[in-house]
Amino acid sequence: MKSFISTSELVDGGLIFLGIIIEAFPFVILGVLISGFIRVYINPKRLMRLLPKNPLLGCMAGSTIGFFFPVCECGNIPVARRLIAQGAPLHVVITFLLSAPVFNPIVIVSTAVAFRTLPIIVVLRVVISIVIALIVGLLFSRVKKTDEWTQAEQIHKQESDHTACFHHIDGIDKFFSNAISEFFEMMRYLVGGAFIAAAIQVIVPRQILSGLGKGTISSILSMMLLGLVVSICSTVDAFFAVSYSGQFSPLAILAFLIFGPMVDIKSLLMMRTLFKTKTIVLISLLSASLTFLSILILHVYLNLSF
Amino acid sequence: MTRFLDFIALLGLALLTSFLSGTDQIGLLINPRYEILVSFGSACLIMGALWTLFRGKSIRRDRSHVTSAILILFVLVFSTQIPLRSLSSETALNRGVESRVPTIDELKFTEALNTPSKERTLTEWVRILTQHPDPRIFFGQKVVLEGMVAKLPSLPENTLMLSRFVVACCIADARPLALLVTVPNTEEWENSDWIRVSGTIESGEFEGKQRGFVSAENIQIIDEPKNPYEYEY
Repeated sequence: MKSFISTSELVDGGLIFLGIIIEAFPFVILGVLISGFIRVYINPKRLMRLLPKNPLLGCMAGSTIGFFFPVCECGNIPVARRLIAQGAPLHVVITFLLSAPVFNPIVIVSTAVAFRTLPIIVVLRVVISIVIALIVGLLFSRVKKTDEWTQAEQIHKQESDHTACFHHIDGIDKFFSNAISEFFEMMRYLVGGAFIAAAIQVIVPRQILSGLGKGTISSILSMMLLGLVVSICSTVDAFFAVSYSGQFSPLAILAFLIFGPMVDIKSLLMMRTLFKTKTIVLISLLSASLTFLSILILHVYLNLSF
Repeated sequence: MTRFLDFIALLGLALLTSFLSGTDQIGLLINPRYEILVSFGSACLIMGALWTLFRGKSIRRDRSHVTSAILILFVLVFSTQIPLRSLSSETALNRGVESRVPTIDELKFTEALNTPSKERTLTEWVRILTQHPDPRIFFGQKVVLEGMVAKLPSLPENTLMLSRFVVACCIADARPLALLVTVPNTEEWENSDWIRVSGTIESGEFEGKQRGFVSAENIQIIDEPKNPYEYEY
């Protein structure tokens, strides 16, 4: 922790705050556009019928959907919100949310480019992320009363409020009204998340975070903490991560690459539009433990170095 | 009346991003490769703003919606009050700039070295000196480098760090790269000063390791460049 923060650093914090918002808002817009499109033009019953009843297959379907949405966590959240509103099973949505940030063409390519000297990292990143997403999803498939875990009730109430006054709701108006409401719904969490992320970056020097870990376990934890705090888009976080190759082992960096896209300050806040707090806490704890566990297991069986 | 709040929020955000793009300052906040996405976002915001103005009368807006609009307005006002500039050296120091100083023992993959030595940028030199198997072949080469001064008490006497940030996505992830520069008198320079250093690469020691230093022959204070950052891709 810093005891004294200079004016320069405060200004830097403000710039970082703005940077996060400017960078993320187009993805939020993409997400709400997709969500609006689904709401207005796609029949929810048909969509739900396409999903397999079997929990494992349902989760895998969730992962597969994610492959076609390379829009960063900020964009996936409005889409997930739409899925929840349409009545998609909780486990499908959670698997989608946890695997989509990594299991898509853009992230796979950018990871491959950043780690071209160690291509196995790409494979490990994608495979482990999907496995963790499936496990967490499967655990949530045991949930009976989905509404107790999501904000479905709140979403439905908001939507009926918003459109109650339209007498003739034709496609375009419904689309715009949905997209704009959802945009505002997301933005307050994006602004809040950006503020907290920027504040943490100013108050906690990054080198303390990365300096925490020299031993095996502490280096894994410290990279996971870094992933939590530095809310960077999964599309390019590989380039950021590889810069630590001088100080950290490949497996510790892998922990960052797996955990970061799943849980970070920005997405934790934005998930409030999807889930009740207990769900968010559970998802975070499960992702964290499973990431940590899988890296430890790999550490026993694999000897990787740059 | 809250639809006017929405209208101003949406339009305002679009205007802010257009202003940043238009004045070529967007690179101070995000990687310019994202500019297309940002422009797309602005276009959507403008359409949304127009829809709100002409057709958005009947939407019932609850308190959370209004809070959100107010937060966006806060961001807009905030952006007008904050000076748009490069991140400071204090942040570079926070982000561990001294650990980015190239060491001769580190063996990384080799980069292609096409540029003549005097035209290489600071970050190119950092990459060369960190990643080339035998950086000693570069000793004696002349350099002209521009970067930010970063001072640290633990540095050898008459040494300061010359650094620049590399940005992947947005400045939240900006990481500093630096070279050690030997100067006649470190008192002349303050943190976050931008300087142009002409000098020679030579060997020196820092934290027990052999490093590539720049021995400065000529130093000029310069204005902060329009593009202070390097981008990962």
